[in-house]
Amino acid sequence: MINLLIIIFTISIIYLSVAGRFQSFINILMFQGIVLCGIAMLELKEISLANLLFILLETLVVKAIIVPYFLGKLLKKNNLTHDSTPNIPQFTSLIINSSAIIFSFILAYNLHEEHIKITYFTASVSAMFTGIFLIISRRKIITHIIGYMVLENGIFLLSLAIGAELPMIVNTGILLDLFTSVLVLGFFVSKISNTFHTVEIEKLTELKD
Amino acid sequence: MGFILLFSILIGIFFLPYLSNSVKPFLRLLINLIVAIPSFIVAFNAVQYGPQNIWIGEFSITGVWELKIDELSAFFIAIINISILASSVYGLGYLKENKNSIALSIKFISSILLHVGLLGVCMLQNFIPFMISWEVMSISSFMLVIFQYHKPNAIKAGLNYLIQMHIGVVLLMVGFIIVGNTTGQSNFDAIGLYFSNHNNNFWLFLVFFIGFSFKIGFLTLHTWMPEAYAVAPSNISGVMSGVVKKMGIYGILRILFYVQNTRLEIGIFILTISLATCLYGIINAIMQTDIKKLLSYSSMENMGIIGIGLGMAMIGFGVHDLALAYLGFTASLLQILNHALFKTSLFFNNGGIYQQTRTRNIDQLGGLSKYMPITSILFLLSSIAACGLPPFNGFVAEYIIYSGLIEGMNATFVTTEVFLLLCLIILSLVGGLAIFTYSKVFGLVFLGNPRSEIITPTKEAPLLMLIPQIILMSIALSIGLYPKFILSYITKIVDVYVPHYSHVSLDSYSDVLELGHAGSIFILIVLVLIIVRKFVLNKKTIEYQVTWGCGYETKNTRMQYNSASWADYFLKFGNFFIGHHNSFTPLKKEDIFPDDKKMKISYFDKIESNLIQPLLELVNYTLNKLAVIQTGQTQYYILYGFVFLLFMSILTFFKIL
Amino acid sequence: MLEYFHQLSAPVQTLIIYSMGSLMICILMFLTKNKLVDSLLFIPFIGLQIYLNVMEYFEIGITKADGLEDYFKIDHLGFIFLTLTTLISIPVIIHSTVYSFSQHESKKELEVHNISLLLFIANMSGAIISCNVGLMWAFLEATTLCASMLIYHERNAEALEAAWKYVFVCSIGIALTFVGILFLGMANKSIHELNFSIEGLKLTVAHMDSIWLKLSFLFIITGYSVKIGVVPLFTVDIDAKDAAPSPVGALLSGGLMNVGILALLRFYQIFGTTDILGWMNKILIIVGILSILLAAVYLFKVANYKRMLAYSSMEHAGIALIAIASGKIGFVAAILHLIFHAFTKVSLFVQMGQVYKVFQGKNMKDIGGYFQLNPLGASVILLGIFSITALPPSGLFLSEFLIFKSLFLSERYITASILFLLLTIILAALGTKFFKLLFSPIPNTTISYQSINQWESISQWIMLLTMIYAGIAPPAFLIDFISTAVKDFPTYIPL
Repeated sequence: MINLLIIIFTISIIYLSVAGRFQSFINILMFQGIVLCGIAMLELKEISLANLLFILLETLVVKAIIVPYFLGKLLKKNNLTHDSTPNIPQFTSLIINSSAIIFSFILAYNLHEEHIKITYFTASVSAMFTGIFLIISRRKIITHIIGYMVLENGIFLLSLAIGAELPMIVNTGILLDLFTSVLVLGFFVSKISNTFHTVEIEKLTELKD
Repeated sequence: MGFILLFSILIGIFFLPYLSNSVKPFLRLLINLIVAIPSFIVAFNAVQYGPQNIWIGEFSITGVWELKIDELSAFFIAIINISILASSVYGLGYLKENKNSIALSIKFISSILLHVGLLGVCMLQNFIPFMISWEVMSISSFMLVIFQYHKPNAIKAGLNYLIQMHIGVVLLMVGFIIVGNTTGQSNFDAIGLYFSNHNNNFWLFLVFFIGFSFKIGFLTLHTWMPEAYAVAPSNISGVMSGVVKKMGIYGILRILFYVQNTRLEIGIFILTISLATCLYGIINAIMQTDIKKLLSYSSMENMGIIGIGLGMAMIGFGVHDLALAYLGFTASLLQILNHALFKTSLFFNNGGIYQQTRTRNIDQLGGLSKYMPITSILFLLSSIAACGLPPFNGFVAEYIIYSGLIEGMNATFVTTEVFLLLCLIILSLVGGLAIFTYSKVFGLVFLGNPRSEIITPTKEAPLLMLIPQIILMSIALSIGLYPKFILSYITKIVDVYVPHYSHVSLDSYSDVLELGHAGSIFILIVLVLIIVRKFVLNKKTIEYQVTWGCGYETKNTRMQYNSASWADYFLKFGNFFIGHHNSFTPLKKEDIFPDDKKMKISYFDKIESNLIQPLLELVNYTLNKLAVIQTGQTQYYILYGFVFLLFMSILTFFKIL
Repeated sequence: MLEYFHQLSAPVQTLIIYSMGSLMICILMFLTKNKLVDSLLFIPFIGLQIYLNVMEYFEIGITKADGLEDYFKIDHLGFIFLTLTTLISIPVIIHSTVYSFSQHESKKELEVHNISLLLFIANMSGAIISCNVGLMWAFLEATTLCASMLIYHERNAEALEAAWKYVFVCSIGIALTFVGILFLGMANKSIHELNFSIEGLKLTVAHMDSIWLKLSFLFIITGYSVKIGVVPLFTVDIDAKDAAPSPVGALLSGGLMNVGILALLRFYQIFGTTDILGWMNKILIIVGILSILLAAVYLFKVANYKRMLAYSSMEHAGIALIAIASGKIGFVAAILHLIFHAFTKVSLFVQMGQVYKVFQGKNMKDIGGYFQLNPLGASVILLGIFSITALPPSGLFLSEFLIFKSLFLSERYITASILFLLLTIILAALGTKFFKLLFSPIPNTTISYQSINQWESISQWIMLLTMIYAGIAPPAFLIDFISTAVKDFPTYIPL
């Protein structure tokens, strides 16, 4: 069951590389949040109830509800619908993402660690790669934020792989990350849209040599 | 006692900027005296009673700070103090009209630090204190070079100087690190330990040699010199040329003391480089139109002569001809003192000219002997000394070198004989070219008529600027006439380098004494003749005419020789060494009504343009090509991180890392 | 509650006093209406910081109790960095206050700035005294937030852009470091409960597969490179130091960089006991050389003085990394280098703030003749530039001498040669541009320039003179202390 959820997660990552509308991105994020919540629930049955509730709260509420809500507000305020044309054509990025998944599978297989579950490792590495790839290849700030969230999801999945032994502190760290993204990114993006009247990255290129 | 000294120096430096402009030079002179007098005393003690050690302290990392003064240090201390005091007295008269008090404060503070740094280099023998003192010397001389920073290329010349000095220090540091790592000690004796443990001393010697050569200005490492001396104020150029350069020789002398083997190779190497330097220096000097650049290239020639002495000495060790070694070292040390005396005097002289005429260009000067008689006499005397003519001191040193070369040719292997013969030939050539150069300068600047309106009328330089020159040239003359005094000191130093050899048997020594006597008789005769002439002419009337008043009506002063035409004959030979630009469009057949034609000849340093410039341009080009990272776009920034990760993982995976 | 407090051991009491005190000062800063009081509230904070520092001196090597033993522990190395942070916070706070008052800011801007500055210093101190890599990571994460508000202080477009980029790339960097820490967790085979304290990790890494250790280290160094300011994620640091007010730039260069290197050093200590040590050193040398190379490239190209200082910080971070990688006596050299560099760079940045005040510009084309306008300040820059290019008698010359010595001892001759070349190029670049600032004629003689109170340069003189004194006669207690701090590092040999 866990493996099924992980595979569904991976498929959502592939979908990211072909998505064009912002709303699709946000929907995928919501979807990933719910899937992660499910995975967490199934994987971390053994830890204490307080921890479990905390993690479920974190995934469900923050990842699946709060972040998409903020992003949606931002979209409405700026009247954005479509992402600008990416630097790398969508088909190519699809191929790149798929090969990344295959590559991380091979890597996980070769690492020979019985402690690590291969699917966890594959899915999280490919999520991290997709997140970074989104940031590198797209030009709007919103997409960058979404790429960052996908990266965070990948890291969360990785931490779930060893969640049974992880102390609380790591979860606090993850929460701190989300706190960063929601508060500060939201704050700055609204400031940017106020000051520059755009959320195009292309305008933010003054500081260069 | 030492702390009082240090404290007073620091107080002086701290308060100097707040004094008025006219008081500052006096404070500087005072501090120089406060520093010079104890060092003179210590040097004197070292010569009388043997090497002195003054303990300062031991600190972590920097190690032991201890002043060690032996005969060699004492010799250099004397030279340093004389030059610095002369330049301070000179400075009292030099820059009266300069109002920029901040620049003056920087200048005076830097000159105090220069003095301290120079003395420190002579007296410290542990690696890190030596390097600290060396850099204090370099940095303070740099600050002095850029004194006239409002001039456009002053800072550029100064930075060129600083960077080349830095490369030299880096090489010294490498040498010290190598010695320190292998021997575990950090004073100069450790160098001796290293040399005795290794069979091939040449490479470490080479590292030190190149490091010190940046300061001396041997061939290819000299490109900082002309510009730096040209933009620095005259008394600073004098000190730098006379003393700061010699610190490089001091360093090489110290290293040579410890060298144990491969002496012949080292000797031949030094000799070759020095010959090339000599030749290149004097040839470039002939073509210059800027007096200061000419003097700096002439310094290069003199450094070459000093190097020839050192090379000879090492060859002497290599072929077991101790007489050759003895003569070589003696000649080098004597020439160090000589050059400090006459070159400093020449630069001071030029300062007087510059202050009155505001130009250093030979092609604009002329006929100065009418307006500045004392200056011209002093320049004449200094030039005679610089050419190595009797009765001055340069002659004594050159005589010793020549006798050493001939002595060496008697001795041994054929190759060394041929080499020394070649050296003798080139040295004679250089001597002739030196006379050519200085006669050009003296003739064009002081004789004839002014070549432009710049210098009418000028007055003589202030007395305070003339006195140091008179003192320096008097010392030079006394060395020339009575060399026994200075030679007795120098032999004490050379005895340390060439032990177990008695110099009494050397013919050359008695020869120079006789020559000194001959020189005194010559001067006596000249003086008698002058007095007789004056007496005879007293009763007669003397008519004075204008210069060139020989009946030609449409003369203009620009028809006199200028620097390019004087040396034109020589240019055909020197073409290989000197680059020149000649822009001149000759008359064409179609020019029925020709307009004014212009010709411009300028000379440049071939090594600088062919070696240094392309190197700098290559560096510049490469750097510009690489400057594409900071694009301003966040995607690229993240991309770099990703690429780094990927690349490092691939390298790790393929076991390259 | 007070009895509970008294029952706690002294070390924990110190920590609670410090954290509670800082929070209270923050709240007070938020509540006051008066700008002067807001700034004066820094004085109790400086007192708290000094208190923490002094108390930690007595704690060196002592394991704290009461459940905190895995989280906070100070050792010699941490104490050096803590003292350094405290020492440079004082002039930074002073100049930041002076700067704020001269800019006539609004109360709200001042308040945000002061609170962020306080939290920034507190978070840095927290990162230094923690001995749990996860906790250190969390503190460094928190510094990102504080730093971004500090960078955004000017509230213009440039500051906004710099702050946004900084937050974004820092978050990604920190996330990558987290992945690295996670890999450590994943590779752990032996015990159930993974202990992320330094001591605990040292025990467990011995059993880990080296491929995991290498992956982990790669992610960690890529992630922390954004804090240290080296290749690959250095670009936003340059922008941040440029756009932030000068005292903040000083703190970023002299404070945060050191904390980042300390965090890296902790991992170096942990991984140094395994067999990936040689590989780690190679990675550090590559990172170091690339950083210095890029610094040299850009020092020639840029015309903005603050960016030049930022690139110079990158260069020195690279030198420190190379020192660490060369081992043997390189560790002492690296720490000395960081200490001296902090003093020099803070002086230069603060003085640049004054330059900015006089000329209202940062571009080389508009600035010149500073010696005429502010002699005491200009001599700070002169001395500072001589020091930062490691000319004797600067302390940086000593540390670079030791670094070259250790490179020669470990027979890394190619690295040493490349380093020589790059440092000479950097000397040329810095010299040309800064001497133009100091000595070229004043650009526009018609307008009158603001005059600077000469007393503002005193703090920098004190710092520079201390550093020069330490460069000629390093105090023995300092060297001994540093040697004790690094004696457990791999391949260490005494000076």
